[in-house]
Amino acid sequence: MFCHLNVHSWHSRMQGVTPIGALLDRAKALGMSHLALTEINGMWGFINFVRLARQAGIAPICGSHILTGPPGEKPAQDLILLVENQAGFENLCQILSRLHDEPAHDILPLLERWQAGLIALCPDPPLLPQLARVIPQGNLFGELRPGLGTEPMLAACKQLDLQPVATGEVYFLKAVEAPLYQLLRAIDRNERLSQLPTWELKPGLHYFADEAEMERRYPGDPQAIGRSMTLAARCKTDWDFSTTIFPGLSPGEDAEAILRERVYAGAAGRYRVPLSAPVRERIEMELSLVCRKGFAAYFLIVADIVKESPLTIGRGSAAASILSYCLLITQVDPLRHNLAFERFLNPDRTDMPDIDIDFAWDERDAVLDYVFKKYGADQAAMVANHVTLQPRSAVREVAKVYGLSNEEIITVTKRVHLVFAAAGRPTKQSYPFIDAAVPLPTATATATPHPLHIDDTLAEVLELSMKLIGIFHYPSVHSGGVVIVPDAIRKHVPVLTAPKGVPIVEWEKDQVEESGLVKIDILGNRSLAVVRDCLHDVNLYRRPTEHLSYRAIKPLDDPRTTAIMERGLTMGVFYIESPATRQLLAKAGKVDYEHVVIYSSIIRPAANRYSDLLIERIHGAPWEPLHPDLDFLNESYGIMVYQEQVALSARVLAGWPWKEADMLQKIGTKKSLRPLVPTMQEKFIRQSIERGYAPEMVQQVWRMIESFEGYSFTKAHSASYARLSFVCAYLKAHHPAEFMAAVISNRGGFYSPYAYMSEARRLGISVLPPHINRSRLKWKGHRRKMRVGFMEIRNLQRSSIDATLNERKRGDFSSLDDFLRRVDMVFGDVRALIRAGCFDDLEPERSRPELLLQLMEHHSGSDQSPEAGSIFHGSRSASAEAPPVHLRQLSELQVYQMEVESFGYPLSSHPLAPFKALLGRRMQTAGDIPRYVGRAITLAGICLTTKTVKTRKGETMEFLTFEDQSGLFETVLFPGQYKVFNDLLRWEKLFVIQGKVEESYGVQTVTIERLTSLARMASGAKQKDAALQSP
Amino acid sequence: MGRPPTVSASGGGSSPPRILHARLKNFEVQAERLIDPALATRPIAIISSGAQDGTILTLSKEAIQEGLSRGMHVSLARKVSRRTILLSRNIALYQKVQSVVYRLLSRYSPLVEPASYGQFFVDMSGTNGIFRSPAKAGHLLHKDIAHQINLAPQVGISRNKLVSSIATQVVPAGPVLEVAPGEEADFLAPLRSTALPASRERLVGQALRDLNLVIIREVQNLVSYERLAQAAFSVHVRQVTAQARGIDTSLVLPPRWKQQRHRHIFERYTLPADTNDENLLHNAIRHLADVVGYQLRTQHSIARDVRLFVHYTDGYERHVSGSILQHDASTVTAILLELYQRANRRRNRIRAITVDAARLRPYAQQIELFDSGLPRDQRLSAQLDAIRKKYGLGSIFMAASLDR
Repeated sequence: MFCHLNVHSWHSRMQGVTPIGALLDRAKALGMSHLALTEINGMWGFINFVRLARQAGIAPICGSHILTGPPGEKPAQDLILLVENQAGFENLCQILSRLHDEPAHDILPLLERWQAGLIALCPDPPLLPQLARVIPQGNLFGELRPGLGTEPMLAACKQLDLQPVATGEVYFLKAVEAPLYQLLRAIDRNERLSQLPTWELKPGLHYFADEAEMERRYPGDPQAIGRSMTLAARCKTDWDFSTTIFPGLSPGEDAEAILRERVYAGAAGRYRVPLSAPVRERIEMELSLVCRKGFAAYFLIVADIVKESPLTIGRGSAAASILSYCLLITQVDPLRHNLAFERFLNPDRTDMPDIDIDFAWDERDAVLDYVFKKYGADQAAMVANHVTLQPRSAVREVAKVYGLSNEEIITVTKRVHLVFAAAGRPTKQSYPFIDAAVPLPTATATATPHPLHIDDTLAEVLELSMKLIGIFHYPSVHSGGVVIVPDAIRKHVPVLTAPKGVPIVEWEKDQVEESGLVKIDILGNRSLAVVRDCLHDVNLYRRPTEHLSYRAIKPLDDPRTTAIMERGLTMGVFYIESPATRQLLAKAGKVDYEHVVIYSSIIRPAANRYSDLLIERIHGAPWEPLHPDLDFLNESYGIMVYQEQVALSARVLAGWPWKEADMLQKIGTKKSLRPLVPTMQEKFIRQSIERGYAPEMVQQVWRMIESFEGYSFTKAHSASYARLSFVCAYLKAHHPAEFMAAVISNRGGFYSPYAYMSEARRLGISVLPPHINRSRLKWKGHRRKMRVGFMEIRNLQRSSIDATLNERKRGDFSSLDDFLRRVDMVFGDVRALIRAGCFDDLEPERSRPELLLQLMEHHSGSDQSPEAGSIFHGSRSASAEAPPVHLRQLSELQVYQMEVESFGYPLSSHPLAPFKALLGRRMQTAGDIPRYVGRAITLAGICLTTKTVKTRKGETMEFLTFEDQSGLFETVLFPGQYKVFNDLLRWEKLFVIQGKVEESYGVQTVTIERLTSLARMASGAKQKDAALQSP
Repeated sequence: MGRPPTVSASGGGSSPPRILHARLKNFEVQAERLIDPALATRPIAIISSGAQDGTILTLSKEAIQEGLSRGMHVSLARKVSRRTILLSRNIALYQKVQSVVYRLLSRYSPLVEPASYGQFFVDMSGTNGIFRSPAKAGHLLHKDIAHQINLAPQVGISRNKLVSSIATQVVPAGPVLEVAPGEEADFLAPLRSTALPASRERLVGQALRDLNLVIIREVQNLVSYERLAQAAFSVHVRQVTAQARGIDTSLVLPPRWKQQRHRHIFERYTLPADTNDENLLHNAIRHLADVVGYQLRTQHSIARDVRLFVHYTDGYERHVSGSILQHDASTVTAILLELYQRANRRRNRIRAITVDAARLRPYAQQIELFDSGLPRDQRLSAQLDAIRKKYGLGSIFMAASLDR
């Protein structure tokens, strides 16, 4: 009997080509009862391996193939470690973590410390005696590997009285896959195939051989082959990850008692005291379930992390918990808003519930620091992401090995992506139809698709790359997942340090959850930082007693907040600022909290028709509930809007248990579950009909479930986010300058900084240019004015900004001369400040060219000697003196260009300003649109944002938001026009738009019939080469 | 435009030097239209490569009207104008046309310098006796090129190459523009400062923009204040000052003079198919080493400056430098292989490899006190060279270099 004890799967970080499932299938087919997974210096896919092995009925053995030595060089030490028991697993995790820290570390001292519970197989005769000194004899074996001579190893074993074991050293399933492995090595080493060192070339021998083949390889050592089974039987295979590993509290602390105490203390702040019966009942119900499941400590840890910041919001279903609300983890009252706790935690749920917390984006690192400080890097690490080769990356990497040029690669990858997307997982036959048949994504109907010529090399590249899809390429850091354990994390999972310096575990999110480790998602949110900065600016001019705080804001019934939301003036407002949501707000007209929660959930990629239906029903269109049993849909006008409604429908109609119903609500959003859709659809419909529901109604419900494809939200999540939306809207309504300044300063959002600045102007706020004495790093808003921050100036280093701000604390600068004397700054940075206009106010008599000349003179050192005098007629602070050379003033157009160079957009004028003469009276403005309903209109505008969508027929169309000097306007490019004009949108920003004005529920949209580039129209008007003309 | 330039009436005697500059604007476009008259009125653009990131090198005015511009990416150009015909560079054609024009210009003066494609300097000093005046020569030359080659040149005449070449950029309607001696600065004054070649230096261009020095008169004004000019133009101050005043002392250099100054061995090996296979590439290097080594030995030279160029499929080129101080076959091969390893840092496929050996110096062999004969490598090279001399260069090669 034989089983493989040296096997590498595609999780082996570019050193294995076979999926775990395929290895297990092969092992099963060959009648093997055990299989070891020994990835190179890691156990990246171990949890998946255990799950799949159990499904296949094979005993999973944990191990690792240890290679030590400088990266890229021939390994100095080479051995296999197999786990015999739990202690061995922990020791292997420790050893692997240490090797991640230092790949060239000598294995002997590591084994000296952590050899308990580990079995070592060594193929290297010289290393064997050294290992014999640190590993007990019964746990050390000589390894007979394919391609290595058996004689030296047998001699060494004899000399040391050790037993040999034969392994297959498997890197691929079939011998023909050897070139694929070599290709992986070339990709990983960033080399050409012909440059690979010989020790990296694994010949065909390294395939998944059967016992007969092994006997042929080692005819004189049948015991060495049979010994593999003896060893396998000694290894640990009864893996159990059902026990969650909770970070402990201090010894003697009772987590349940502490949780109860803190929840009631928090409830006293959240609710009126004495607590009402419903509040008490809900708290007791949740406490009972949470304690029964053993999650008390988890809540306490999350609450402890949350207290690090005054501004947080809970994501996901955790907002449905009154415990979270009382512990200040979430900000929405689940009782008041009827949020069902079952979605978060129900008696059937066996996996860990997730509590995801948003912090201000720029505070997230500090919170992570707190976690690492509190629990130590020994106890905490971040979750990894496993970046695998995808169709595009696979083609790109293989093509690089084959020496294809960048443009050749791009031409292929653009098409490959489409083809693979259409064909699902590619097959060997799928690449030929890449040829010409598939146009590039931006190609228009009129464009001739450029045929892609597939020569022999390219055909080989495509063929090979398709076989690499799914292979683990490299680890990265998960956006916010943190794992905390009660003792040393390196005992539970191998840990490595990511390039950005944080410790990460080897496993990605799913394996972490499956392994029983507690994961907390600490995520960044820009709008929380916007609220914080806005409140800071507002409170700057208030007495401490009048300070406005996040939790004190009561936006829900505020008339000014309601007014801006009703008109869809929500640019910059968290979660409801996209053109689609702004239009929905304006069309619906109802903007109370419950409705905004619905709107936040219904704007989904596949739910367009339901949002139209929603507006109709809000405006009074009659509707009947689909069935009395579906009364939970009544809160959203009979339309399925929230994730939990999907699960409830499955429970009510098909009679599914919670676990299965939960699965149904996940299939739309999790790619990995997509293949289950047809089965679940059939089952849902069949079982619903069997339970006596009308087939037509069941079909209607299924269509609504289908609209959850892409992404969707629970009601608790939307309710939690809607609360932040209202706070932002409140701040925008009451403190627009402070709010818009904070929006621009924190970047992100749906629009560009220019678009937000324009929005501020429409709100009546003056935008002041940067000022050397008044600006700060970020934008600053106060009353009806907003000052550009230094951060907006391009090519200005942060250190120079800090130096300026520090020096300014000693007093304002009186002139450029004063600035140059007081601040030691590189030429380029002062130049950027002058060009941005920072000194205009300080030096009103002098033009920017004159200031720049002074800077140049200062920089060249020619004004350092007193007798040399100054260029400005001998006076050092000669701002009032006329220079001896005449430097002409900047024209309006030059100022415009300088602003574009300094900020990326014009500050003192509108982007359409240079075209004023051209536009003349022939065109209308955004302000005229309401008067043109049903009529043709011609407008000029700058494109702020676009959103491409698919119609039901699968055609592409686009929604575009434009702006002119009078306001914003929304437009739509239907599929016919989209085909003609979409190319133009890729490289132009300023357009002349001809179309027809349509109106729906009082909201106007322009249906585009023709788009023209404004710049091209202007250049057509004055076509001449001005390069050498005199002005 | 500023005031019209003065057209001098050239006299004889000790007249100042007169340099004529002939510019064939959009030379590549004109050359393409020369061989295909159907392109005469159609928008055409010459591109560096048909690939996505190829760019437009030059284009016809019809193509400009279509919205295209120099430097625009081919992928974008295709979207902006589907009417425009995008032509890949036809180097052979341009070289042919260039040599035809050169031969024609050589009839006017022995001193003709081809500056770049479609641009020539002709030193007309002392030719008044033949052509009566440089202006007349300019008109005649213009007529010759137009009638004999069917190309349209602009001609500028002045005391130096700088002003003549700027003159051809700003020739208005007429084909010939002469700047009278002593009026160079006045001629330049109203022109845009970007016409000065120095403005293409990053630092100078930035200073011109920052100080809003739009026309050359403003530059002339600034450079009259030495300290200010130094502050503004830094290390380029002398260059800018001279150019703004229309001063240029460089000579017209005919090609053979250049060649004499730059005698070199130039060998290129184009691979049968683009490849990044190290074995094939090493073979190609060995072949080049054979050829270059043979030439060095027959010329009894060493090369103090050897540059090895690697030309990739995507048009990218990389080169490294070294020297060949011993010219036996094994040494030359070792040096070129070492240069190749340093030059080829990419994984991309290679199309060709070039070796340019310059600064050739006589090979001075150390004389041995006791004659022990030539070293083995040198004896082998000598034997091989003897065979090549008798039967031709391609008659014998190292076996390793044949498998290519």
